[in-house]
Amino acid sequence: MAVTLAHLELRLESSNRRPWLGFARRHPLLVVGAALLLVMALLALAAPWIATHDPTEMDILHRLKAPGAGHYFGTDALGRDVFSRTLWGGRVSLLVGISVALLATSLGVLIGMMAGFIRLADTLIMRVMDGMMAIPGILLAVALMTLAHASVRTVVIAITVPEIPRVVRLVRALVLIIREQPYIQAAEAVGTRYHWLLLRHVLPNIVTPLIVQATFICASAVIFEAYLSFLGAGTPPEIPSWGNMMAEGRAVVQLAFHIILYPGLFLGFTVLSINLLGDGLRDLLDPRIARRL
Amino acid sequence: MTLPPDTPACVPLLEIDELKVYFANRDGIFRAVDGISCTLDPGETLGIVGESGCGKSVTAMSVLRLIPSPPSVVAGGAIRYRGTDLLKVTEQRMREIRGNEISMIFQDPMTSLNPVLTIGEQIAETILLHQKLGKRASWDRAVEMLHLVNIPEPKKRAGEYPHQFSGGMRQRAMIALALACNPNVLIADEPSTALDVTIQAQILDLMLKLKEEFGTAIIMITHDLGVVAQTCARVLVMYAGRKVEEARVADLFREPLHPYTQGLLASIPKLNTLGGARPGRRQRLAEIPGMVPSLHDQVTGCSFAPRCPRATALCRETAPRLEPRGDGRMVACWNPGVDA
Repeated sequence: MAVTLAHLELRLESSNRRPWLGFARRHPLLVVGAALLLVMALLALAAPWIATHDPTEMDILHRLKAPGAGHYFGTDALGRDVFSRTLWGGRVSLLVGISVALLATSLGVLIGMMAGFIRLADTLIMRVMDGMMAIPGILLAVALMTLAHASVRTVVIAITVPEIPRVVRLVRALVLIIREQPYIQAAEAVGTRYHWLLLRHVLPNIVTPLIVQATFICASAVIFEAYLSFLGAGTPPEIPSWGNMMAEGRAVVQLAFHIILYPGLFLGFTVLSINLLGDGLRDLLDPRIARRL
Repeated sequence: MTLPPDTPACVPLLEIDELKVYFANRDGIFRAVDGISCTLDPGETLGIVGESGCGKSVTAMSVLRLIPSPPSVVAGGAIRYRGTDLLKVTEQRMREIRGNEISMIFQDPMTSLNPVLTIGEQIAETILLHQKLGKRASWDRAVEMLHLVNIPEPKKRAGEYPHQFSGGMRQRAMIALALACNPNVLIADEPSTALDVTIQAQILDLMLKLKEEFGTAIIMITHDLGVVAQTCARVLVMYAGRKVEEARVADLFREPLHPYTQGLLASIPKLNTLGGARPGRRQRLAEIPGMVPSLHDQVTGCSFAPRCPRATALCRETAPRLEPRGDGRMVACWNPGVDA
């Protein structure tokens, strides 16, 4: 007993002295994920300064060069520097990932809350969402891309649309649970207005799962962008993106594996970091554990 | 207790008049509340007792119009608050009344506070909603309310979340929330049922104390006759959506007239059971045989007749009407009396 108590006090003391260490020990996924993502984001943001070459500059004399001193990650079939292109490509991926996560979540919340609270809208909205979910996301996105001029913005929209039904379903399910809770009725019993009830009493109760869902949407959007670009239906070829680079490297994979390897590695680590972050957030934001920090 | 200035004399604070609330679904119509009448004077405590599913809560919720419609239908009657029929006022006016003039305490304090808002925020929000007070002043008032309901360190506690409160403290916070705008009527829907016995007593004492302080009239809904004895002046016994007896508490306990009330009183366990039980041998606790009839069935006679020890052919054919018995007592029974 005494030993345990002393041990506890010791742990308490050490975690008081270095609170960050204690936090990292309790939420290793979150910290590792956040750190990795931060590195990826910094690399992408600092691309103009770190990049050794212009990512679009072609150099026919130095095609398909292996990684080395002049070109850290080598060059591609047109002699463009893979290192610089990978850094610049990260910008597109992260931009698309974050935009899609924000857009899909906010639109999904709006539509989902309507479905959860308005009986008449529910049937209509949910049937439309069912219909959208019946179409494979990639097909829907490719179809949307062909309708519009290829640009990063249209890519964001094309990826957002197939993601919305999933958010709507989640939000609707949560709202259906929350609105039957006695505290909603209690809030009504003190004269709370309808829109205030939604904003102040329902929304905060569904934020936690939404944040977690948003991180997973972000991760899947990053991959989705790469899919689309790989298929040639995504980011226009003049803008370097990881998907574009891998699509272009595919033809010469036996000669120059590095063209696919590096963007692939960056893509993998980025998605991994976002997923780790999402898992960590889910553990952290559990309302019963969250407030004890 | 003085009357609010705008209350005409002789008009009760709250009057429920032949209220009928039905629920309609695929299987038919359920008569949850079937012609309830009662009055509540300022500062009075009225108990409503009855077993589960007899329509107590539906009656209470109807007063605040909190029952979703559909599936519920108010099939008749009126709920007059200071002479105005609450069933006819606009939703806007109803929102002004809720929490400000009539408020409610719910059964389960564990689930009736929002888990993501602090206790202080929830109380202050209600004050902000109804009274001409600023944010700062509302918060101060919330802290003051928490102090009034005996929450230690109210300043610090106001910034805490419901899960940091114990069950008894949450119910006290609910009381603070309900009384924050100094309502004229407080509806307490089984306020002590979810709490353990010692906390129950504390909560009831607190409610009585605050009632004296604020002059609030209370409708105490409960299935516990002990709670009624402790808190109420007058009591109304409900059975299957109807009122079967109404009396002053002392009279009811001394001389219950309706066989259902007699059954309820007989089924309270006593420490020393009288009536010739030999020492060392415990007497079996009395019960009321049978079940509450389904509210779905159309009952022709007295709805209690199938379970009543004194039922006659008349009981099964014609429903008895509420008859005044003097002294403000009322009973709906063909054969009322003390001889069970």
